[in-house]
Amino acid sequence: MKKLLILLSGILLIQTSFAISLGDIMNQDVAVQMNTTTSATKLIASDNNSSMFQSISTEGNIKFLVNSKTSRVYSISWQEKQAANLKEILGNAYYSEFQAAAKKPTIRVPLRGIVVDDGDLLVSQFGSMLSGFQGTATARGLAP
Amino acid sequence: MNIKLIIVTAICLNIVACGGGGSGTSGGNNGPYNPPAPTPATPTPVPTSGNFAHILISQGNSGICNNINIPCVSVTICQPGNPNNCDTVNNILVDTGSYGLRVFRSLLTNTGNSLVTMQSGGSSVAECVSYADGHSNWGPVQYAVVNMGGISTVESIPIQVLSTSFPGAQNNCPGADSTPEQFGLNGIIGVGPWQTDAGVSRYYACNNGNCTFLAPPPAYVTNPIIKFPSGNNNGLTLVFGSVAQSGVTGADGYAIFGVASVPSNTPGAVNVFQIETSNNNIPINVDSFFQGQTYSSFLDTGSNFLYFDNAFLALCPYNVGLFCPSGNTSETAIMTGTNGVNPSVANIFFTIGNAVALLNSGNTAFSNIGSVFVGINGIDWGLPFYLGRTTYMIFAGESAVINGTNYPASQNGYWIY
Repeated sequence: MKKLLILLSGILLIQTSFAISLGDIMNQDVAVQMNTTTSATKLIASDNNSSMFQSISTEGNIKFLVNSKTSRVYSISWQEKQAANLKEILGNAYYSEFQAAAKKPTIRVPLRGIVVDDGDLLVSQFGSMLSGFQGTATARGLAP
Repeated sequence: MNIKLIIVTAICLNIVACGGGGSGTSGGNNGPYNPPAPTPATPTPVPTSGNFAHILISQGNSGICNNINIPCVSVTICQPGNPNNCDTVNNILVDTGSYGLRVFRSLLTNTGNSLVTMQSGGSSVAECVSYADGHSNWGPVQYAVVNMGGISTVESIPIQVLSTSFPGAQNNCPGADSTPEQFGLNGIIGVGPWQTDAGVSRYYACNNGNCTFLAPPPAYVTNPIIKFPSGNNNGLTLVFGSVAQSGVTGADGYAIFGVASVPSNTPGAVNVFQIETSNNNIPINVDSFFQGQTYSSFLDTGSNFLYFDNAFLALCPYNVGLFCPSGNTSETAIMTGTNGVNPSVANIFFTIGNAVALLNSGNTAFSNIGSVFVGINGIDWGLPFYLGRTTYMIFAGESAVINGTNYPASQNGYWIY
């Protein structure tokens, strides 16, 4: 019973504040769990090396590239109305790495854009309230 | 906000130290580098009619509104019902890429304790605005009367008062700046085509730092101009004088309130583009055909340079994305769309210069700096587009009669130039 409650609470957590971050496990089951009344996530392409999942919601769309061997997300790209919550997308470990690298960004466009590349982590985002926001985050070490 | 300037400066110094560089640099290894004297701007003529505010480009100091190509104004914030209790804050970015006024609490020395915070269910309403470069704004939504150029909103409007001392910043707004120095501005006045920031910002209901996501809030942070008196509130006209191809310092311009209400804000022969909505409901201006491809594109005073998705010119050393052709390069894009009824087409003639040489000039305003930013999926016609032009914007839900033609209220407004 206790295990069931833990499992249910885990699913509830996923459904109410779902966030897939770099390095997280992503597969068809997780995609199903991500689906809510306001978003739909599905597998849209795959080959021997990678799978691509896409989540579409009223806020925009997010794509996840998954290493087929490890089932871990190695790249996330987004096109949304609001700037990405990088802490959520990168997860705690990669967000710390991003914060350190962002002190010396490869490119910073005041307010409008940033590129951070420390050799392992590549994060790029550009946009505004007017244009929406596009970005990508890739952990090279997780890629196939 | 200052990092790009620092990077570019470092590049310029490296080039000079190596004795190389593009046109406009000199010095070699024979002595200390003496940058050329900046070129003073020719002042933009004062509008002959209408209500307006003076815009200063990159004329701030101490890291606040003094980066390259940053247009700023002074804004006065008053306690509702008490026009004698006000604060005038300078160095506020004029941003057609966002919506609503945001100003640091630390600068509201008179009104700071007088503005009423928006409430929802007994909780205080706060907002987090995240920018693409990692900066964020956090603070309560409060009601104020806003004045620019002597014109006041006819009622109090929601503004965001920026303060990381307002509990909840750490958990709800990563990257929130605590001071104007960190942000590089004293605030932002978002005067884009939408009337509010509805749908493009995050609101919270907060009690002692415990904040929950709030959608919708009782009201949204509002573009102040939309609440100016009639004749001033259907749009915004931006006038900037021409800038020499080598750049200038001390450039200025004017924000004239309204469109087609007085001679100074009435277009003559113009190109009218109704602003389109893209698939995910983000307003994007019309298409621009350039270098053999059609791109979505938009006009944005808050973008300091022209940004493109592809590197169609040589890049500057160290690959920071800026273009560095050997000399000024003339380019043409074709903007296509509709005026709401009929097709609308306009050529956009622009020049891209050698960014390293230009930024090494000591000047602070440029009409010809471009950059690639892979992934933007379009063209960002930033501040250089506005320099030397008069650009008109009819706000979403507003109308104007121009040259006898009525442009009715539309979902996203119009851009006219």
